[in-house]
Amino acid sequence: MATIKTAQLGKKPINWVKWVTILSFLLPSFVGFVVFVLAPMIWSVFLSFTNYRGGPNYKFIGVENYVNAFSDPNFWSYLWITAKYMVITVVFQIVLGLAFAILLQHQFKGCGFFRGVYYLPNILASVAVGIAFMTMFRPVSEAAGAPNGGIINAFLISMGLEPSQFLAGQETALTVIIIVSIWQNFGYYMVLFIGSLQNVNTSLYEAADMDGAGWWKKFTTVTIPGISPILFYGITIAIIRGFQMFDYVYVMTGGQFGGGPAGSTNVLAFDIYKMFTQSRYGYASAEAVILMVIILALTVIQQEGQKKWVVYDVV
Amino acid sequence: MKKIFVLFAVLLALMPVAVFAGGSSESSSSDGPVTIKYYTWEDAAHKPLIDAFNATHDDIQVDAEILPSANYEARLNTLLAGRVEMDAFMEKRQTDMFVQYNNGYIEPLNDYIIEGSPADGAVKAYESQMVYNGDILGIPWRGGAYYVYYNKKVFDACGVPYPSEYIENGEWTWDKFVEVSKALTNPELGTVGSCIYIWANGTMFIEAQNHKPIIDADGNIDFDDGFLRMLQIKKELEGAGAMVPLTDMKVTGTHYSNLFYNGNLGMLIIGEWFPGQMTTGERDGLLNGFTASDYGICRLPCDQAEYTTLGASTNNHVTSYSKNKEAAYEFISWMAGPEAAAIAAGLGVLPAVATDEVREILSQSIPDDGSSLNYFLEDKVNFTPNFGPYGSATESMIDTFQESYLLGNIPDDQVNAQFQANLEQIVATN
Repeated sequence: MATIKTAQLGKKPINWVKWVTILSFLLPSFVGFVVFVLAPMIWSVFLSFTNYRGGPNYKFIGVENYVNAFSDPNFWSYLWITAKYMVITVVFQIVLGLAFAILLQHQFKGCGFFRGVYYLPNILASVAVGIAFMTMFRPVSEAAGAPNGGIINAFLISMGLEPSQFLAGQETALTVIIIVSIWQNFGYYMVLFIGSLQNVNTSLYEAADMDGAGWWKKFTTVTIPGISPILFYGITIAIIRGFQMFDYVYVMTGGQFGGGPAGSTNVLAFDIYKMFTQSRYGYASAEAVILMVIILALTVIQQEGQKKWVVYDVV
Repeated sequence: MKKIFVLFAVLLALMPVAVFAGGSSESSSSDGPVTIKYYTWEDAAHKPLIDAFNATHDDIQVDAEILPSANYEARLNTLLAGRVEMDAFMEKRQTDMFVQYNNGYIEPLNDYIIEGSPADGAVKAYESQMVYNGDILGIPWRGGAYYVYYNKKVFDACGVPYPSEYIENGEWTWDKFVEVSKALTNPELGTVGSCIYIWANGTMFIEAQNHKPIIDADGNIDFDDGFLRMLQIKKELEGAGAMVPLTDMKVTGTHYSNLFYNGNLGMLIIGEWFPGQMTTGERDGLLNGFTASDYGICRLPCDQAEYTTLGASTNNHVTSYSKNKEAAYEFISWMAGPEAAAIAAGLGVLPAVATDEVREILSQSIPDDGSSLNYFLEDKVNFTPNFGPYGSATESMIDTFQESYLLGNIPDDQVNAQFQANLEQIVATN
């Protein structure tokens, strides 16, 4: 009857087989998204307005968790450390990724090897990477019985230089973590950019050559616009990952005993973990929501900003 | 199109049912023994105790879930919040029990414990820690006390008298501890004086001996200069090379037992479980240049006339939502009884209640030097500061605070004020 009605109205009858097929493909991942992403996210927002500590007897406390966070100097300190980490790692990962992509975009003998070598760290588990670098960056302690200094300090000493405290120093611990993060992740962006660079229309370079454009001019007027959609994607992902950083801090600077020397490497995600271990789920949720809002805001700003520099219609 | 959305919604609603159906069934038998689910962490002593219980009980069997010790606290709290099937559990960070109790996950044991039973004795031995709001929250099975463990070979090499001699002369003060630590530090011999581990407890010994709670269960803040003095001692020893710096221990993941096993550490301040680690260390060939008979045990340094140590007992709890509370109680009360105590003592662990039998067994694993066993088992006052609902948050704050001090960020004259402010912040926000 419904088919007749829709036919009478001039509409096509619904093809149930087609829709069931589509839904059977969509549904499993959508359910996964709802159960493991959307629902916990909504639940976190709800918990952030409560004093939930893991039990059934919690109550709504309005914005108290947010007020506590914003009035706690430690919270601002952790946010500042997160921002520093994010900005430095994004800049270096993108710039190095692009530089190596430009060097390795062309086919030459051994290019596959080098691409593999630079990408390899990205597929390693960050916990394993953290432990390896923790050993390499071991400080040199004067107290007998302390573990031997790491290979980096041994190298510095062999060069006649002063050893560094590295992970044990409050001025240097975050730098070490940033270096490790850049080392592990820039290869990912390199691979993204290589693929994008190879799709830039070569006739545009020829046209630029005929106009007498130099290397820099071609880079800024052809290469960057040509890869700008992928560049935009890379920057967005790098920023999000930067704000989510947790594993290196946990593995390399003391884990459950509070993070880096005197809190010098405590990023916001690590404080969320610490609050979680103290059963302060409500407060931890508030911090997580703040982090999510910051990431969302930056993503929206980028999304708006990209209209000015990302080119989607390069031929 | 509307129908498609309806269909989509219905399928969406049914999907979790389909996914999770069949995963929640609980296997139980009305005939065989009651099986209880018990959570603990990996420790050399835990499994032998559980095995012994299972071997001697036909009516109750313990199905142990042994989790990694790292992050056990967070895992346990998450499991409880998720009301995972659990009849009893062992507490690793004792102050977590207050939050668990307030959340209604701990079964008060007042109605279970029989006057004069071993469980009653264990609870009474640690009554100040186990009774909260009039409720008995759990049953201790392992005692709690910090000691000084010392390597006699290091003392002999450096020509320094053993701590027991200073104790007998009434000279074993914190100043003397610093002096001895420095005397034991000899770069030519490769020896280092002492180790007070990175944990927050390591800043509270003097406060414990001054009987200052730092924060009590009601949120009252009460501390004195003992906290600062402890920080000063650590800083002085680190500066003199007489102690491996705290931050170095942390970022290198150095375990206190490894420092002692190395054979060049003079003194280690750590808890009552360490003799067990010495036993396993020797068994596994980890001791470098000395044997388990070359170490001694003595009191903590103390500036007060009456000796006090610090240390929380290790407790078992019955889960409030357990369907097998009686069986769970039976198991955890057995853990506090003489049979389990004998097994624990055989593994070098100090049981909550030390009987003559325990004393006899412990004498096999504690160095036989005429004083160590006496100091290990002597009657002593146990005062544990920071033992209450604010304990976990305070410990975390102290972790960062002591690092800041040791790295020179907090001058001596600002320690008390900043510490007070941090404690007030914890009380206000927890």
